[in-house]
Amino acid sequence: LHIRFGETFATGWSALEKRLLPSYVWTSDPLTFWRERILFLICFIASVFGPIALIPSLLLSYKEGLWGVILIDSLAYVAAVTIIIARNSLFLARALGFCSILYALGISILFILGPVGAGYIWLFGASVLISTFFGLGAAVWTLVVNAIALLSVGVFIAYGNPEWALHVENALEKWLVMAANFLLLNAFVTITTAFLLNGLKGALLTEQKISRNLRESEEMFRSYLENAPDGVYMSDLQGNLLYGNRKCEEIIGYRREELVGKNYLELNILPEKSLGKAAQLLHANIEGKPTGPDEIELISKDGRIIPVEINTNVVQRGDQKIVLASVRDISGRKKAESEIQAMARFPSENPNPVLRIARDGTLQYANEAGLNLLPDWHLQEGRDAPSVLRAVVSEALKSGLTQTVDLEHGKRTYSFSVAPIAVAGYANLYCRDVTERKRAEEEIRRLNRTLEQRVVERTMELEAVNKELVAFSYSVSHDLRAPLRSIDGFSRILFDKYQDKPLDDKGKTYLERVFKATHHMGRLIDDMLKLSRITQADFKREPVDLSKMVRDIAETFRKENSERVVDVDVREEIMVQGDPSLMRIAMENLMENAWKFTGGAAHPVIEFGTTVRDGETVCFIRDNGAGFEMAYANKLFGAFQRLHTTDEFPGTGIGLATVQRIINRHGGRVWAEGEKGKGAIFYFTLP
Amino acid sequence: VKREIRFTRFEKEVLKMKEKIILLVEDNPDDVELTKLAFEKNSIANRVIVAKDGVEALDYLFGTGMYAGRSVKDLPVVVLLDLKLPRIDGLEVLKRVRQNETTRLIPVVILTSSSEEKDVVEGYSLGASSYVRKPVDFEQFTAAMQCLGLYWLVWNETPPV
Repeated sequence: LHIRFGETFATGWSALEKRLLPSYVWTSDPLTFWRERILFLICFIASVFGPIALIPSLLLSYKEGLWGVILIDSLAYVAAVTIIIARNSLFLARALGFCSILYALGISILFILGPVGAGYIWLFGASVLISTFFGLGAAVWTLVVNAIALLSVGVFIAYGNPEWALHVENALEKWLVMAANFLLLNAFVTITTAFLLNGLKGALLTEQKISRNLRESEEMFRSYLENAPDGVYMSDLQGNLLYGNRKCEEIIGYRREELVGKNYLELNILPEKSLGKAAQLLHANIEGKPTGPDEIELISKDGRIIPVEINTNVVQRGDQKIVLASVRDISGRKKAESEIQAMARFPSENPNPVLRIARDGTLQYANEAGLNLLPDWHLQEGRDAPSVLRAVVSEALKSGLTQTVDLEHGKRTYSFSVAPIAVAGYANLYCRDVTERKRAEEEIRRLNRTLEQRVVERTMELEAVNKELVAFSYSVSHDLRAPLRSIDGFSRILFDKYQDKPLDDKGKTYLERVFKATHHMGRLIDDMLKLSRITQADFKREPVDLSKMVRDIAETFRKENSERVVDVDVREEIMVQGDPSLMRIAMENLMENAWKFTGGAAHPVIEFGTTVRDGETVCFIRDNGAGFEMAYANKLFGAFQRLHTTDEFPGTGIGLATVQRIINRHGGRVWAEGEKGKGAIFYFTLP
Repeated sequence: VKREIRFTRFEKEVLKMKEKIILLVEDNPDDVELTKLAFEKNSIANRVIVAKDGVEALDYLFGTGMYAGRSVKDLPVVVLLDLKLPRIDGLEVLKRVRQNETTRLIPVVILTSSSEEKDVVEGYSLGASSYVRKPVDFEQFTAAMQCLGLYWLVWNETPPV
């Protein structure tokens, strides 16, 4: 109960001081702090407990009619309360005001009541407080003032004859003894107090300075540790973490609150494979040995594996040995190392052969892919490279320029880029299997050739068409005019000569000529239209039975010319791939040709069959008709070209041009052989 | 309107004096007939020799083939030459005539239905003496033929043989 009361009181008092002390004291120097607390304590006690002394004093003074005492008592009480209220005014003013009131109280009581009153006590108190509040100088001045005050009282007793002195025997003497003792004791107490406070102040300041220095230095070292570029941690010899700096947090990803106080062997920051190593290090520490540098792996909070380098040392702290360790994140270094290793493996991992040939022509290095090739080239590391490569290497080293050389081996082609490293005295050869590329290039070349051929073919086709067009326009101006002239000429002659007489035989032949010319013109127009249709017609390819087709055509001719007896011999089952309607036109023209030119033969025979020329199956239509001179064979197939005069064999000169056009469209060839008077053979091929 | 050229007395005299021959190279029998009819008016029709294609024409001029043995000195005063002919065409005939020593100076008139510029240029460059396009209209055709006959038979001076 006692302890609880004390605690309650201390807490309450502290709260009171917090509210009522001027706010600056909490950051002021310790002496000022204590002076303010004393001033507050006195004023507070005076304010609270003052009335206990004040009320009896006022009652007594009232009874005895001492109005001066009543006034000064009241003034003192008001001053105490005011000082607490006006706590934020200057300390000097408050302390001086308070001390002045006390002093005035003392002096007043002294003069009003004389030596028998409480005046001395107030004076004494005031002087002690002044020395407490203001120090040694103020204490000495207080003594002087006290001496003057007491002297004045003495003078007042001697010459003023105060009333109270009349009741005292030997008042002046008694006063003298009293004053001397007072001053002596006053001097002892005030000066001692002042000295004590001075000393205390010095001690307080020194201590404050020391503690500040200590704090600063500790902060500095803590800051060094905190901001160390490596992680630093401390643990006890059991592995319980005591401290970890910021870098530690950074590396491991945990905040230190999550780590400090826990045993790192039990935290999930060490992967299984690192646990043994960590225990080993701790064991060394227990034996008092420092360790490191050691590489160990940690698991960060987000689960990454972090390789670190760790150094530990054992230091004494108080009566305890602790472990001080530095941790460095070496993942960057590890990565660089693995990159360097990967770089170093580059040539060996290259799927293309990489060789190194020295200036003197010896093979210094071959990667795995290169090694596979070596036997083919009778190569071996440390031996001479093939002369072709040696020559290129020497050339490259001389010129300093990268050379390229292609080597054929078996069915494959290898392209070497020879990069000279003149300073090192060797050249690196980067080899690539370019067989496929070569093949592709060859393919492209072949395609280009085919394309050229196709262009040539197409050009030829276009030229043929163009030739036909030229021939067409030529015939419009030539062949079509001729019958018109006949019609105009003979009809006019008839008109002139037979207006007034009947037609005689001559007249009839003129009229016949008009009919013939008209008929011929009709045929010309028909044939020309047919030819132009072939050029335009859509083309399709399907099996065509030529044998049947020829038989049908022959049958039609027989019906139309029943007076003719022609022996038509058709070989069976001649099948081709072609456009049926175009092939019909071609076969009709060829048959018509044969039919026409056998007109003069005694026993006309037309034969349709196949034969083999240069390994190629060739169709032919042979007749034993008028034939033609081979000298003019090249003219046969030109449009409107004729080898016979129209009165020998009528015709337009378009038929064979039409045949050629059709066979060409099928991609085939047509040609003729003949002898005048013995007949003709027309050959054609269809691919 | 009939346009007929009638020969003057003088012209008829000249015709009679010389045994003048015209070689007509023409494969179309109608054209041959029409040409002869045109010449008939001035009785020069019977002086026309007809060759039905290039081969016949050359045979006549060179005294070969079907005309083997004919005197080559006996040249026609003019050759009326069609261009489109079976076997050997007109331009080829012209070329060969100009290459031959005895016939190289003979007047050759190209008489054809074609008015293709190409034919005209080629004809002249091969040494044609004249190029006449056969009119379709019979009146004009007759007039052209009579003009030609008159000019070549009467007024034109033949080169020395």
